[in-house]
Amino acid sequence: MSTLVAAKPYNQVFDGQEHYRTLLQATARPGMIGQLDDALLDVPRELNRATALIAMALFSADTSFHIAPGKAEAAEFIQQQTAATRSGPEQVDFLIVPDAMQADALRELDQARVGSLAFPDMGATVIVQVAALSPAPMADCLRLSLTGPGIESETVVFVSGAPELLFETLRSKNIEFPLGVDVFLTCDSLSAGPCAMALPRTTRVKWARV
Amino acid sequence: MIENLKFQDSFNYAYIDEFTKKEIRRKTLKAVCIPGYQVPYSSPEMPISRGWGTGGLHLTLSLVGPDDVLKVIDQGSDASVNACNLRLFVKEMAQCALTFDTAAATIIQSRHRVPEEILTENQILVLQVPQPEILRGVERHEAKTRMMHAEADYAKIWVTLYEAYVRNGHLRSGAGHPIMVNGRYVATPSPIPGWDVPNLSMARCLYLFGAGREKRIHCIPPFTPVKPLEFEDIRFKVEEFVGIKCQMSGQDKAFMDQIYAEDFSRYFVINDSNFLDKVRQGPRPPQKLFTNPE
Repeated sequence: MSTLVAAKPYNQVFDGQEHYRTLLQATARPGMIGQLDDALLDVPRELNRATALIAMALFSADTSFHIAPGKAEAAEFIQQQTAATRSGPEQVDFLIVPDAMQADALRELDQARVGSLAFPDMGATVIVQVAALSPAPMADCLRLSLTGPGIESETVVFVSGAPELLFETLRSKNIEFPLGVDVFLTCDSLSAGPCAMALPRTTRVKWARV
Repeated sequence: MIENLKFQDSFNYAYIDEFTKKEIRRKTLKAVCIPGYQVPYSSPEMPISRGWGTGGLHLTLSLVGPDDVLKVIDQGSDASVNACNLRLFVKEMAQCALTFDTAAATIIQSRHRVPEEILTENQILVLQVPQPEILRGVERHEAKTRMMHAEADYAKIWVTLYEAYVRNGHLRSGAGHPIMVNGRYVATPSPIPGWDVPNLSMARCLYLFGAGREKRIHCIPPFTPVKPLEFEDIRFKVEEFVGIKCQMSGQDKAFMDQIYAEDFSRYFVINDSNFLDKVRQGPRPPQKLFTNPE
């Protein structure tokens, strides 16, 4: 269970609305790190709070999700809280990658749905848990420079706990616009609380290790 | 008053149930990820008829929270019947604040106009769309227009544009000039005048388009290139109000309404009501003006 303290119990209506607005702004402005106001919610260890809050805000009984095998507690939590159904990585609306450093997790990402030319919105949304996201450099991190819709010229953001292979996989998934997957990178920051950053399929990512 | 309170309690916050709101929210996020592509959505029943602003209402109600400041305009005016009713409905259902001031609003729902004043990164403009499919005029089958979008096959709309030029001598087609969003999807800007179309490109705010009757959401994210369809030699031009000044403020360089007096003489007034109020009371709010090519 998390050590972060939150003041009020999670409210489906109002917390969901606030978090959605943060996610919408983050999606509209890739590279912006959105802070999700924390709420009292018992989240299993395998999930970070940001991922849990995104699931609470967006998942419902008509959505399917997949989380890497062995993360039974996390899967059960999401099912109980949101009534979303579990399915294979190649079928789901939401694919959760609990640890981006695991090679298996990225293989699952490679199978994610990209939609069809007639219905590109059927591409999956991928939630990738990373160690940290920051507008300033950190120790042992990747420097991402982002361009595309939502970005005035270029946005630079630093991410730690994500391998270069993750961005290589995303590049190959999103090579054929409008097909592709849309990504939320999530982390729990000690200072800022649960954070999420979006990388929609339109965003071109260049990365370098620093 | 008592009946009024009873009415409020019998509905979920912001009228739409949470299950459906989540669905609209997921679809809106996809619309942001694929600029210009029309995402099908549930379009739930509203207490107004489909095609009377339900699409905009769905988006507004899925966005709104108690801290939001809402502005609703119809044809540029805060005072038209449609705007007043939608504004009061959202207020009743979401207990949000209301404003006429374009700069103070966090969510602006509009029909037929983009406000003159430059919108900021903290603002979302929700536009009501009667017909989201710009290709419907050239192809009546949904399955075919969907394939045309899939293949980026826009030949028919170009031909229509050419024919319109041959007939009228200019490219402008009243309202809702077709736009190319991010170089991929041809979409409708909703029936806004040509005057507003250049403001959609590389804007700071987020534009959401909801078509309730046709059950589609599309989006223009901030800082996204939007080009009105035009030919190399015949360029898109916005309305020119040559030598025309607003009767009420004496100002120009804004979209004007033409008003007929009782003696059939005509005069012009700035269409955007809040902009008109501001230019009459003080300094002119910041505007992005488009210069027509030669």
